[in-house]
Amino acid sequence: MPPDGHRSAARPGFGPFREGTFSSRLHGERTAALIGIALGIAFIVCFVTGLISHFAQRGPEWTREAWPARPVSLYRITQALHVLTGMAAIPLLLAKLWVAYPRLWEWPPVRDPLHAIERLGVGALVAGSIFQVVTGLLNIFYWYAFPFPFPSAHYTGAWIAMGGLAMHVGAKWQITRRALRAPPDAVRGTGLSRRGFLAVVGGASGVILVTTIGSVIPGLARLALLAPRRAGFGPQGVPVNHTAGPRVRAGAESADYRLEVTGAVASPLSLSLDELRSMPQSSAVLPISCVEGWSTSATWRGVRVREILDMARASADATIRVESLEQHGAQRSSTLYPNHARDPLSLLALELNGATLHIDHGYPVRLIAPNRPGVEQTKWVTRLEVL
Amino acid sequence: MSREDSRVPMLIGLAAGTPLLGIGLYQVFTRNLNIVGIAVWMVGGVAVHDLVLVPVVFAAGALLRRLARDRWLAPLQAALVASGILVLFAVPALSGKGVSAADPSRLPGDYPRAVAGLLLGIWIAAGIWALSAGRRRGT
Repeated sequence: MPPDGHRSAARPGFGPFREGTFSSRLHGERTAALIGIALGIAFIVCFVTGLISHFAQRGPEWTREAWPARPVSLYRITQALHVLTGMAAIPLLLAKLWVAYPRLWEWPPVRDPLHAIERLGVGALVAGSIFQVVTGLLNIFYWYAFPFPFPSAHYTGAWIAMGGLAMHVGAKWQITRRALRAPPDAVRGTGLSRRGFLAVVGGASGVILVTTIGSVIPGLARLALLAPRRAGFGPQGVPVNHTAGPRVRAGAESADYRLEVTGAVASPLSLSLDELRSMPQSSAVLPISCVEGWSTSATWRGVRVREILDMARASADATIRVESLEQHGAQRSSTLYPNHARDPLSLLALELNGATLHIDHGYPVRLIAPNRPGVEQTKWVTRLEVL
Repeated sequence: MSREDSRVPMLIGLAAGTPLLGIGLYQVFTRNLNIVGIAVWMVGGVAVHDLVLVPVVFAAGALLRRLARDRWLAPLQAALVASGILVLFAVPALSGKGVSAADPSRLPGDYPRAVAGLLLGIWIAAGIWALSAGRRRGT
């Protein structure tokens, strides 16, 4: 550590290092503490709901197998929380970074080893946070400008940001308590007051929330001015994320279409569409809940998965691979663990909202199961392979 | 941190944060990610924010203080902050990069119109604020 006298003398007298460069009364500890707490809570909500989504569909096999079928809208709610909170956090993040910006140029840059570590933690927090909100926002608006697969990168960025957040909370614990316990200091000067600044930033978060929440609540769809989706807007009143290509369309509309049930079954099946239609039909009101946050509930009608499995005499604790007519891509198949395979609400749907499935919703047959990420509600189902 | 402060909370934060950060870095190197791409976007995001966006905001703020009369200063600052946040947030929507001819349920909104309407609302509110604040002060 350099001697004290040397420290102050060495402060450069130019640009952001100059004493008094950042003259706004809004860079104070109280402003930083208030916005920081709100932002920290928002990030923790995002992290926890993000982990839930990760373990539901990308975690080790036991977490995917343990993922429950009830409550039917659990994933809908956690994922809406994830994306809506992440979007509403953007004004808070911008405000927090602006308030704390003078600290970037503090002098001396490093006082002691612990201070160096603290600053590295802030670096991880800032880089991770900006990375998460920017790539997250780009991803839900389908602007794939980044040169990496989004889900893995977003998962990675989350841990980096959270590591930085934990260090930052520890480093700022006492200063934050002090700033909030002290009576609000009188901030001198003209222009926007602290209360005014907080109101503008909070108001911006509120506007983002109001203009995007219609992506999950059909009654508010008309307000979804800035959302990438509107609840209830799409063919048959349900948004689509993955449309049928020419090959899928040809296979789906062919008279030769069959639903096969193969693998570990006593009596393999090969059912035509007419045979499926003549089986007992069940209805279920279930949401399509996208990992991107949007969701829409709909009425589905078709054959219960478990009735087809019983017909083929599959074992009751079997895991099923549901295969699509699609040949390639991440959505060409999904795994149905017993929690979902045996659930009475899990259907191979033939109808949506009272009409034959639209081709982009998976005609002739799609999987729809309770509390399941939309990407795993396999469309254009042609085979159930019992594992 | 002043000398009287206990270092305990900081050390707890370090103890909790280091493994989390470690998991993140472990993912970077084991997930078959484009490491250079991730690094460029992580560092690039901070660089663009700290060296471009924030200096522009400070420059605009300094200019505003020189040009704006007292009673207009706070409403103008508020309107500029709100407008800036809104436009930044709407960049992906406004870009239209995600529009899909095959899937009209993607990006179904008229985003330029929505942003224009919200900006109009912000500036009308700021105008009303400035005028009413002026009247209260009797200027």
